[in-house]
Amino acid sequence: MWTRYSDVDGALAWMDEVRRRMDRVFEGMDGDGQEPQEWPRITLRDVGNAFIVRAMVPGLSEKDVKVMLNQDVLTLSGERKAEVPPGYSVHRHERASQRFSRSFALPAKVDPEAVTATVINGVLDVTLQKARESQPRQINVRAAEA
Amino acid sequence: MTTTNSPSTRNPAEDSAERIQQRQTLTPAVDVFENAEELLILADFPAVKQEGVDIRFEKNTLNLRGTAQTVHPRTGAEVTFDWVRSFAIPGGVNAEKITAELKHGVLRVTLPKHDSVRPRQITVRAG
Repeated sequence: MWTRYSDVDGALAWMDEVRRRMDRVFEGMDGDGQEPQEWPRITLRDVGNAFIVRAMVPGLSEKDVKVMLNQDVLTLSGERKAEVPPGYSVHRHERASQRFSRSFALPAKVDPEAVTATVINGVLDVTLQKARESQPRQINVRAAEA
Repeated sequence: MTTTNSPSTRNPAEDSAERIQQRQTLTPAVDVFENAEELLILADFPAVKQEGVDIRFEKNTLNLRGTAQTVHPRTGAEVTFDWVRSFAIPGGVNAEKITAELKHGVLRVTLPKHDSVRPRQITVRAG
């Protein structure tokens, strides 16, 4: 099956956007942390047969995160409460309460039955298996008969 | 390090050269709270495993370090980085009793105060 060119263009534009975001995330790693940053930090990766979306969500567990897939749009949302414990005075309070919702258009069809999400050590990983027709395929090149 | 080459004429192989500097450090967001009994420090340490936490208290300075791994989204290479933060701790903290706990990517360090600096309730007896 041939992919329409508009699809290819769309995918490339998306990859560009992803790359820009990743660059920003990794620039952020160089920073002193003082500039306001998007929360949570999110990276997207294409590993061939799947996409992996990773979000740094310190303080959140599985039940605080919602992952929704609607056609090819992935939405991550959740809330972190970071309140001052009762009876304590505050010297610094940088860990703000956060409510977030972020959506991504995936560049290829994914199998909605094969999406897994885990939260381990404050890191959310969503793995989306690509649909069969979007999986990369190796095409054997046969030598032409002389 | 400077180079006289303009970016356009730079050898692409240079981009894969190893970095000499140490791995990246990041500054985690923290909360510092205090009550009569203790100082309480919370630090965002996502991606850090328990064995990656290194807490030191010396010369009244508390050093927090969390070593974490993630994957570079573009190259797919494993990236190691450190969350690092230090605090000058006022006197009166009982260093022997500092405890720490890591849960859901948040480090929680409790620094109890010495009994001598804790406020005490003095009961007034009827004369």
